[in-house]
Amino acid sequence: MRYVDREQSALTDFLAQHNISARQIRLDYEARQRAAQEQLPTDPVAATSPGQEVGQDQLQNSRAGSRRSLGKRSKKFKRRRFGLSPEDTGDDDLAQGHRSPIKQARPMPGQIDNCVECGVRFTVTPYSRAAPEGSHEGGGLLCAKCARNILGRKKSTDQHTVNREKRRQIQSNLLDGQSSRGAKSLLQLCIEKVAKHIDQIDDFGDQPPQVLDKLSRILSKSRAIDSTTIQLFLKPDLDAVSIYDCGKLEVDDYKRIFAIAPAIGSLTLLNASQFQNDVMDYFTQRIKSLRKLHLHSANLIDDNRWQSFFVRHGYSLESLRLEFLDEFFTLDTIKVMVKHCSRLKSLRLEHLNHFKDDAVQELAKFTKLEHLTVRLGADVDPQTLIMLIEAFGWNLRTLAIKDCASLDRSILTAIRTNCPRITRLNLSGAESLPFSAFSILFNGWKNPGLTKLDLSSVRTLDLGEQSDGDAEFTGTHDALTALMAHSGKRLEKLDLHSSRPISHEDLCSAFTEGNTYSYLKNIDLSFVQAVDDFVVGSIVRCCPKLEFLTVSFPTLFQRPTLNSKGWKPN
Amino acid sequence: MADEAQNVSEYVTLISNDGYKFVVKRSAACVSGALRRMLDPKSNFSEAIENKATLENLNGVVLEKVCEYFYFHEKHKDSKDAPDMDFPPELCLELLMAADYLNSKLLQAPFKSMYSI
Repeated sequence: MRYVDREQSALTDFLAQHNISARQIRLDYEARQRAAQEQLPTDPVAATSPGQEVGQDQLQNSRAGSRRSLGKRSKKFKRRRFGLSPEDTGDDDLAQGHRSPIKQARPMPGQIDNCVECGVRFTVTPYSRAAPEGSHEGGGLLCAKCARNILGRKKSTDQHTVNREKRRQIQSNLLDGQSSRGAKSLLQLCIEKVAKHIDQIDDFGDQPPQVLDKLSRILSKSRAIDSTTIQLFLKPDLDAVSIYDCGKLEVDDYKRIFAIAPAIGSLTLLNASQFQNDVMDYFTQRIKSLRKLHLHSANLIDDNRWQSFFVRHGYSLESLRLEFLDEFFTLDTIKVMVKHCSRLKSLRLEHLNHFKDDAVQELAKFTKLEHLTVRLGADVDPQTLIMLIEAFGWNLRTLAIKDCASLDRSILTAIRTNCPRITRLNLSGAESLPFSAFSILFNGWKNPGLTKLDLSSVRTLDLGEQSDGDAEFTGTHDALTALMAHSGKRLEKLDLHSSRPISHEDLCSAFTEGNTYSYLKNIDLSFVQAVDDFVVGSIVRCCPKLEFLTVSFPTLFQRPTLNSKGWKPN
Repeated sequence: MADEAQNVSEYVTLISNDGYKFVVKRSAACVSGALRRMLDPKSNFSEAIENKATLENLNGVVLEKVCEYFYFHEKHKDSKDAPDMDFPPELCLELLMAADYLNSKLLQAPFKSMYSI
């Protein structure tokens, strides 16, 4: 409780504390007012405030005119300065001298005022709200609490920001494959918390490998793996090191990995641009038996280093995945690789500049290969690939030939004849292959069924009608129906992104009522123009386990007008 | 049969290694796969018979948070966009180990999707 000996405003009180006399200010102000009042009728120009510019030529106009305009200006100025309404300002306001500007003026933000409702002292902010008109004499400001009680809660813009942030997070989780139903697992919460406070952690302790992997993924996503955080992941008895973003690692950090954990069996380093020649030398002589290597953009390792690595460690390698090696990794290196990596089961080569026809031919010497992924340009001869499939197709589980625009129907015939065990097929970007041709592959294929199929960007329009004739060669219009009849029972993931030629009829008959695809979880039908509400409904009915159905480009996502033959693109 | 029915109580007791006891709902505790198997009435483990589980590698502070999570998870079981439970950062590593040990039911799901990329 504060003892108040006489009535005074909060501002007076505040000024008194700082040794400023409110009374003196008031007296000074009144003296100025009086002086102004005396001057006003005799010398109008002097009463103009410095802020009000009046041109010389205006002043030289008729005397009466200039007086009128100045009178107007000073009234306007007065209104603005003292916050009075137009009705309040009579001509004789100043003469009356009743309205004390100190009382009338609203406190500026940052000053302290008393709430007119509860009397509590509070700091005025730009968001302080005035009491409703008529509730208090002379008006005034309300403190935050009273404003909320009296005027109700105003929807703040902060709420919008929070919602937007939340929506963005939900979308981000969806893209990561996490649905938002129920609470997150405790493990997930802990991992996220650890990733958030990574700078305060000295040691992870004994964490299981999958937790370390998850942490590495999260930290890589936020680009938090650098020379200090990498040490948390390194232990002498480690089997796998996986860093998904090495952008901040220096040459010494790579060396430290192999110095501390020379017994690693699996190494994954993405964005490893500092993985240079001397690191490769150290790596080659230090590690003992490497089973799995995945390097991304290690484009400074020259061919000699690659060759000596394959000579020394090629025999133990089971899985090799290399991407973005730019100028290096030439045909000679590929020959050395083929010669020494005799136990290789999984090979994945993407974005290599020297990976052309002759290099593809070399791969035919791998006989134990089970998984092959290659990304090739348009200038690769399909016959080379057919030779490859004939060489080791009988044992293949995965075949992915990406972005090879020159693929034609003959490759499908080759796959049909030579690949009885295949479960994952990816022919995305086969731009010269008409979709209808896939009926050649799937009709009566002696294969237990695919689990993953990616035929995205197989976008050539159907030429089957022009080359009338053998359906066995040209394919039919129910390629998707044939596909689902063959693999539907086992299919888990189907990507038909921008495979435009798929017809509405084909979609409807593939997902007709009564067909159940019990494992299908993920379908991408983006940019397939024949997709409409009906098709989506049919898909949802046919796939009880469906988790993701992606249909981008929703402008076409509407019921198209169907003619008797069905709707066709173009 | 009658004995079995008696043993399936609504609440179970979890005891930390420093002797703190937490009495929690059975349905909540069964979020954890390990506890579910320990307390399964069909299993004939001593934990299941006594409805009491001693967790030797969790101390009272961590177990308290774990119990809090059990109820948090049960509360948000069917809700969309559930909030994240908050806990002090200094606990997170111990809690991480505890979560791994207790093997909560939802533990595997996110990993699968992460591996498939």
